Amino acid sequence: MPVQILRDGREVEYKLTENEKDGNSFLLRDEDGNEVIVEIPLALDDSFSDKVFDIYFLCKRDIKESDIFQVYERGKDARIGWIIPTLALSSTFHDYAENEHFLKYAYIAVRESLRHLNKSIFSRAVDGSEGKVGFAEIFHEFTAVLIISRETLNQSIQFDIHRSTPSLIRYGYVQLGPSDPERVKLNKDAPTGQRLYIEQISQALNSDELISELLNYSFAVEDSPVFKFFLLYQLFELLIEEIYRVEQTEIVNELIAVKGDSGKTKESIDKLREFMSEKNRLGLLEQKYSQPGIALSELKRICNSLLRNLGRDEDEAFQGYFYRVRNFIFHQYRDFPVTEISSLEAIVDELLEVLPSILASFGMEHSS
Amino acid sequence: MRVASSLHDSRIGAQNLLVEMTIGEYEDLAQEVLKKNEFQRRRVGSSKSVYALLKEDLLKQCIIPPIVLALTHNVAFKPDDDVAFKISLTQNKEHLVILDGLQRTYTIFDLLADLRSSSDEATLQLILNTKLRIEIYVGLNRLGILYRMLTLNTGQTPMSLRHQIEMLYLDYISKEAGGIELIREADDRVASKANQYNFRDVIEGFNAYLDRDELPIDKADILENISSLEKLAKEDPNSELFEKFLFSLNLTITKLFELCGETEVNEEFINEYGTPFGRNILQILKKPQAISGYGAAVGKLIDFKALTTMDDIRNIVNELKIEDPIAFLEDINKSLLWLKSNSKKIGNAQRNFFTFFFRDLLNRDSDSFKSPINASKSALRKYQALNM
Repeated sequence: MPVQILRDGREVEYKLTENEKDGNSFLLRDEDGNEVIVEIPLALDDSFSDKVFDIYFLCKRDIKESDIFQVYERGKDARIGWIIPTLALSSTFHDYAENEHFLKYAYIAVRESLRHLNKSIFSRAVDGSEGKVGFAEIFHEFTAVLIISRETLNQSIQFDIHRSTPSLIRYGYVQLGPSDPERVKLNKDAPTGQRLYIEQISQALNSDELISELLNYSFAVEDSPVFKFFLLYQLFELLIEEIYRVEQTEIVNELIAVKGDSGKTKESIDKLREFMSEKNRLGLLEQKYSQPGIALSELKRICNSLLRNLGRDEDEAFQGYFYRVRNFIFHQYRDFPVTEISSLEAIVDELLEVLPSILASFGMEHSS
Repeated sequence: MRVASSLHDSRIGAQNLLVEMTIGEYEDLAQEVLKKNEFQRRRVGSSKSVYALLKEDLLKQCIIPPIVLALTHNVAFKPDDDVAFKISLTQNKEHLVILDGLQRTYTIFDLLADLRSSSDEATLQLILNTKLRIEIYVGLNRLGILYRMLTLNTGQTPMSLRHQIEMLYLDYISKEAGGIELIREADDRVASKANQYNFRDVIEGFNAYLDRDELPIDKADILENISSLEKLAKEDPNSELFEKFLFSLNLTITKLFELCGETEVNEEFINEYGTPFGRNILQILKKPQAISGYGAAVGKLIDFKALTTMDDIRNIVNELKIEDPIAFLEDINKSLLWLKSNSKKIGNAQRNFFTFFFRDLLNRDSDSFKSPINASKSALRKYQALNM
């Protein structure tokens, strides 16, 4: 489904005509040859027109016209694209309106979004009776486009939208599907500064699509902090399940190797007992399976503050404070005071902050 | 060409003539209308089949509903003298506006072009001699025309109020009213002097005044037009409202220019806060956001009875005071820069801001009455209270 234009009281499909851009206008045409112009107020620069780009439609609740960011891949600190609200492509009021780099990407953003709009993306049918339509009218005002330049990608810099989801969700960007973006409840501040850094889910995890779906289609539309916590905890469940799989393989190999040695067998069985515990595997996640240095101090502070207010013991270790919060929510939510809902909301927010790094650094290379 | 009937429209104080003319005569008149008025609406993107059907009907000599025209120029006619009437109408055809029937006009022109290119002389002559009924409003002022346009313009694809105002007041571009110069976009000139304004910006401001709404609505619907009609019905039909609006706007901007002069925000400010909305007072107030904000604010103040008419503005504006122009320019720019970083739609937020600014500045019940610097602060507070 290309652009839907209202004509004579019905919706008609118009497609972008290739190579018929005139200045800052793009020409759409229907099957009968009727034409409508999409006007862009920016002085677009088409010098990237022969390069190859990928486009992803996103939505961000209450996105601002000035939420324009250059997208960087964290590992290599390299720019790979731009993220632009559709509102900004129909406006000259923002700071980038005359930025020469932006105007090149803006041209691509308009062209690619008109070219790739289809039924799987929420859009609006616009009145084309005047022979022209505004670009932003076609989309819901929460819509943004992520433009990735294939030229910037190589063997060491890859881009995968599913693997990038945690970094996008962190700033409130959700993959746009056919549903009304108003359904999205997630509302996060945009990055400060001019860059949005992407950390991609580690290649050691094969469940990137599942994680992406859970975050985009379940977590982002959820309003209740308790359900949001539950959904985010599913990601930790997934990680500790993977830890179990790896550790179990190691122990089984060990047990085979020490066959007949009762002392060493006992040691291995003790190890097995240790990682059978969910709480201990959370500890392994932090100490062994994630890159050291992930800033968990704020998470610790707000978890312990909540535990204190709930009359529970505080803990210094990640698996201590986090697992206790998890237990209270999962087993005793009936006793959860309404006054602490905001604390739970703060924990959910902080989990979103640290998740991209945890998921990106998750890998066997950290295991000792 | 024959004047079949002449009736007086008392609501808008004008004569309505029902004229019978041939398509050939109409072509001669309407060609000028479409050529002269750049704002006369372009062809509607209706489906080709609809055009084809209408063309077929015309070939079968069907009678299409009357097309309605208005003269924006006051001309004395003698309706009982058809020959003199035709001469007079032809001489004034550049002042005609199509109020209703533009798309029908395009279809007629299409058909004539088809026939001319096919060299079907016999059918061409048949069509050129086919009679049409045309209604012409004569002798009403522009506000009256606007009112009538809105009442007529309830078809499938109505024109927006703004578009109709543009069509109607286009001739202000060529004449200098009260020392004020309106500049057309296509002229490639900048409205840099205190008394110069972009025509489109003033039209937007006037639209905002009539609608009591500073936000741009380019798309028209019937409900919008009905709402505009209700507002327009309250205005004095005998006043030249557009001129009054233009003069009051100019008076306000000229006074603020007098108070701030050529003062500009300095480089230090720009380095710290970024590119300002406007470096000096004229750059700030000449933007369409400010002019629309002014229009909506004045309209609302009249509705709230804080102003009786636009004439009250003169006395208030004469008493405006700015002790420190730099402080004022920095303050208003800081407010506008905050909006740039924090609003969903920057242009709309700036329009809201200027509406609050002028409402507070010109409202004697406001703490910021006659104080631009206070108004620049209170306007931002009000925007934040409503939107954040």
